[in-house]
Amino acid sequence: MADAEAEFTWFFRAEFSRVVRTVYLILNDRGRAEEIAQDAFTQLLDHWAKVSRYEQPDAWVRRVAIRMAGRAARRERMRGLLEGRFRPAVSSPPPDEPSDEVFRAVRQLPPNQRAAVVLFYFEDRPISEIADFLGCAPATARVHLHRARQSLASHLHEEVDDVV
Amino acid sequence: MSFDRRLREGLDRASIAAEPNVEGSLFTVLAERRRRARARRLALAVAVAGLAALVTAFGVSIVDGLRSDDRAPTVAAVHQLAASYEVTLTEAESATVRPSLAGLWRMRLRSDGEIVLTAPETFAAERNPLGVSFTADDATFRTNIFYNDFCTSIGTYSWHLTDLQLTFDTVSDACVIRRALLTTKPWTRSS
Repeated sequence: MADAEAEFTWFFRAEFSRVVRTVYLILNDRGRAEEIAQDAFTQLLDHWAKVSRYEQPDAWVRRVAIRMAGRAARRERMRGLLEGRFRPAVSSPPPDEPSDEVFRAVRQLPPNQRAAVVLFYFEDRPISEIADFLGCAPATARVHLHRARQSLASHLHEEVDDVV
Repeated sequence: MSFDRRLREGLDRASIAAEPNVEGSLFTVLAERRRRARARRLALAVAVAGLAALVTAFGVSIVDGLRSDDRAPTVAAVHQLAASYEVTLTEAESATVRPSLAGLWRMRLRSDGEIVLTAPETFAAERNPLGVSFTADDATFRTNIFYNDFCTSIGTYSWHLTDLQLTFDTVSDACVIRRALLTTKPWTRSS
């Protein structure tokens, strides 16, 4: 039991930051990203005896965290729509957030497109894994990514081809 | 600089702002695990104390009754429940909850405590949620189905298993949609 906790602790220190960053890029909320990553690792700890034997236990916890982030992003978007709030397409970031124009352009994408962009460009995941993480078909994931790139190219005044 | 490279570098730069407190989070996760373990032990102790009180109140007949029911300890209860089940709910049966639960639900209870839940194709939320689990003893079944999606707590149910059906009754669960899923109809054993 102590060995298992020590092994988990080592894994946590190696992987936690990266998971938080990925969730942050999807959610655009640092505090919520850390909470979701903690929840995902708590679930991982519950299943550690089994998942630690997987070839890539990091993929398991990332998938849990990313799906939780996706659900949170969709809930937030739905709440905003129900309350009549509407975020401007490119708003000024709060003072403690990056002012990078790429990040600002990514923030205004719909949740699934944003997640697809983060998984493809930040996590370097292939389409098949992006589909798995998002819980959709590969063709759907490709459409999310295609539309996201078109939208980002427009906001960033770039020209883009269709190949990803 | 290419468009793809610009996106990669932009996201890398932005992600730096989310540098977390790793050690503080590790402490939180381990503490949460210990808190859950304490809660489980406490629940078990309360259940044992309750059983002891029943035995004291009703005498040997209760003990005989339990023996005749061949009640099993926790691990055995989980193994006893481990199988695949399904239930089909109609729109009318699902009328009180949103999103609608109408359709065929499949639930595989694994002996390691994991639940593989498959929702109908028409279910307007996650169809194959991860991290769903259960614990059981001879009297109660506790689960986190729909936790984070529609529920903020764990549900506790009594259960009754026959060769063909698994029936749940609510002991305590504030989550309406989970109660509707589990208790509207008996679940039919499919394997």
